[in-house]
Amino acid sequence: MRGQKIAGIGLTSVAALGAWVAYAEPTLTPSPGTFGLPGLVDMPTAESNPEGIITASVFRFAGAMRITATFQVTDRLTGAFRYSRVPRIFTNGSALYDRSFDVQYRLLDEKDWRPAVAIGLRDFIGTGVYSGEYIVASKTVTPRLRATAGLGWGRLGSHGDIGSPFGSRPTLDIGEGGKANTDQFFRGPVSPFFGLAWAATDKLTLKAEYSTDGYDRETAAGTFSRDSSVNLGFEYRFNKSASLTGYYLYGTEVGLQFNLTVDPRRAPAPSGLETAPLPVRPRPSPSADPAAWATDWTADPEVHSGVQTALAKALAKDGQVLESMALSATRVEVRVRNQKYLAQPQAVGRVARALTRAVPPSVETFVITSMANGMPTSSVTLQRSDIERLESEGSVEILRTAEFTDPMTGPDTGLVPTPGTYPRFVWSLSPYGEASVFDPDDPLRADFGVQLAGRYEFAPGLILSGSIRKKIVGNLDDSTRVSDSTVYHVRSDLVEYQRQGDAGIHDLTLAWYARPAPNLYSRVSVGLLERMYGGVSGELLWKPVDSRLALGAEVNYVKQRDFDTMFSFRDYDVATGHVSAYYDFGKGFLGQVDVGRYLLGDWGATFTLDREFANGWKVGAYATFTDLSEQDFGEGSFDKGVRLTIPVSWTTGKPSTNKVSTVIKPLNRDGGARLDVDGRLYETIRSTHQGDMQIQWGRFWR
Amino acid sequence: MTYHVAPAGRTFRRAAAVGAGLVALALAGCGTDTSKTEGTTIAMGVVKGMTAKLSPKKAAGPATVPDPESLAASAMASFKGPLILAQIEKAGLLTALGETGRNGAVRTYATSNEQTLVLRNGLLTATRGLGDDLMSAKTDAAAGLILRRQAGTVDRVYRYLDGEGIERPLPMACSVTTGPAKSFDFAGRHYDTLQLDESCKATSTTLTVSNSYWVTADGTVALSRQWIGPALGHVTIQLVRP
Repeated sequence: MRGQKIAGIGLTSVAALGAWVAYAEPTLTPSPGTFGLPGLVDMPTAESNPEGIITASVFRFAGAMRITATFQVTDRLTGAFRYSRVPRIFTNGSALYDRSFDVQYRLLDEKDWRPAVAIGLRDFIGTGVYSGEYIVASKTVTPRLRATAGLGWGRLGSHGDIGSPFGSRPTLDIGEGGKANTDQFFRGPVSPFFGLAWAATDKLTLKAEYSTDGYDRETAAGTFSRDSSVNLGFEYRFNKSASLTGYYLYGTEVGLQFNLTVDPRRAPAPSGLETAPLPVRPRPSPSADPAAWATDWTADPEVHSGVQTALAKALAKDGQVLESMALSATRVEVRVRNQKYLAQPQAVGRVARALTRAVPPSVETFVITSMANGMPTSSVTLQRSDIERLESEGSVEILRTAEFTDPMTGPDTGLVPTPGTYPRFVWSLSPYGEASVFDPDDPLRADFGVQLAGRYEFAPGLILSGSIRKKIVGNLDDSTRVSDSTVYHVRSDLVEYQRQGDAGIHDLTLAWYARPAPNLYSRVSVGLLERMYGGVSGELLWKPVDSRLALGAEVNYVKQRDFDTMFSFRDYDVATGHVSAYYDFGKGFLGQVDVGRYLLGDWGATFTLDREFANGWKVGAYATFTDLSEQDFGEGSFDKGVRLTIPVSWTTGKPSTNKVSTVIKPLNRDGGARLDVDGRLYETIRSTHQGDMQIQWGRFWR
Repeated sequence: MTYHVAPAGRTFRRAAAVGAGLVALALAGCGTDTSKTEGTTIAMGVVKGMTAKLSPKKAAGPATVPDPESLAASAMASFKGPLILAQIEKAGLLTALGETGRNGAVRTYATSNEQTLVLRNGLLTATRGLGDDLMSAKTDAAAGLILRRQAGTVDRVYRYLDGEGIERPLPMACSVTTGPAKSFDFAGRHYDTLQLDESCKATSTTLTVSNSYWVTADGTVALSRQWIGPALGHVTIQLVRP
């Protein structure tokens, strides 16, 4: 394992730093259109945001609204999720509240005389009110002027078409919605559109387009009058992240849009607002001070305990817990729980430096074992002379000497637990919030209250934890929406839990984490596992420390909890579980497939793809397909969603292992629902394994 | 939709939990589990920061600028080891730093807030705890000229963490020129120095930076103005007690 897989860090890109150091705003940056993606007004362009950029926009006009989030998945691929309102388009006069997904792929980059070319699908899953496909080319004419022309199908071909080259467009079978409308793609009338964007100043961009969107349904509903095909717009950028867009649309309407841009690589606070690490203390040379190198201290039992106490104290000051230690004449192993640093290499680097100040000179080999929920998950072996030699060098130098191993495969060296580490009790009283979005009656409802949480660790890996919540203020219980699900309500009665479960036991579990064998991890959880289910959950994970692949199996037998979220249960129980495969594709892409039985007893699979940045940001999407019929699933046809994780340390610059996570699901239904048990093994251990540690190794000396 | 302050690796809650932070306006978290109370602490910090921004501007910086000689004197009285004074130009504050570590030619000096400057033969090689720190620097070639008070051209490499936390080298080509001689007294010591200016240009961008050193005949950097990095700018370092 020595020196393996270090290319990702070794071949650092000088150009990337250059861009970071001398960030120069290009004269003409991609400007968002009304659909959130880079565009003109309603028409798309072939532009992309820089890789990794996340945007959010809110667009309003003529009673309609589009809220769009986009993510630049790769340099060429853009994805978007949208929540929109189209007023009064149903025959009964009610508005359509709709969720839609877009993708755009840039096929060609602009080069010499060639324009950039992109292909895109708008609203390609779902009820399809905005469905349209396009191929578009954009060319920079002068540094401040960019011209765009393209061909649009579907809604983008609903005005001024020039025929149907690929046959007629079949009428959309909406069904329950939620499926890709593949039989419609690039069918039906096609219309040419074009437009211009001009950077008047570095902050102001003006845009004009010829739109081929006929707004047929809106016009028919009488909410919209389309008198012209020419749209005008401007974008004013307040700073790098916020901008305002205004439009004059179709000769009749005025629209306004607010845009936010977030770059996960550009933190709002300087990274590393923390106390400096202890400096390495080098040993005297053996010739200058031979007595210091003697090993007769091994006969004195007080040395081990003295070193351990001092080291535990130093690490505690640095937010780490020395759980156990084994010290011999030439080798020391320490097992450490990192409670402070998001990047495990930073924690390991600090332990290594503390060790140079704590253990006798004859100890040359440092084995630093990371602990997670009481389990030893990885050992990093370093030579003390390398630490002394490389303290002021690039981090890749010490990485080349580091050896990653599974602690279960090492020799039993007589680890001594640090006195006073177990049992351990922590508690907290903190505010909580809970919100409901996408409810057409009231798109945003929320509750705020207090949460009392406690955690008692009897021994390494044996943990009793729970939390109680009491609402103080909120309007979630105002919701009158009753689940229309025709199958058993395994998840869709959330409103009942919110209404009746005030002052409720959110969760109360006894969990046991262990290492049954090398490369294997296990978890057993019993109790009130989550807000809606209680029971027993068991999990086994295979994950070698240097492997990109992990395999897991989870089996649960659970009963649905009563709406009051106390100790009683409803008359529904189910055996649910999955086998899972996890794979680290590299370049920050992580995939996961879970195959098994869901809470409703439906069988199927969940596919998840995450883009994880080295600083802990994560953007992902998942979809679950089960044998439940679309009719039984109801609106949306199958479960899908996007998820976002932001590390707290990114927002503050201060060290923290905490992350804020959010899952945006268009709909909360009963098919393809999984148990939400805490402490699943893969995410518990991954940050301490070789792949993640190599990506974050730049923080070793920090 | 969920929104939940949770320890790393924790799975999501089914319903949306809007960041505990917002509610913290009314509530202060408490307890021994910092992973759960942190959200409150951060929110309070954000609120304080916003209040400070919205409230009328107060005079920036300390009312009185500390006199370097008296700061050096009080630092020498309270700390027995080697000492420097440093002032980061952007931050403005003049601070005394005491030596807390020595590894070969590398010396680590720490402030009372446990932020450090790391010097190798007087040339800045790293900072910690300041935010957007200089992770390390390859300065041996530059030191070869500067400490011998010689002009010439050298290469050096600065290393930083980028926005993702990945370490990136910033290689630079530098030319060292000699300037005027300067003699001065500080903190009870007399220095006869020659000024050396190091002008560096990044090999991959248009970035240029400059460093200046006042070096004695025996190769001691008595005073220097050195570039830390793109975010932190320059620091002036004055030797108090070698």
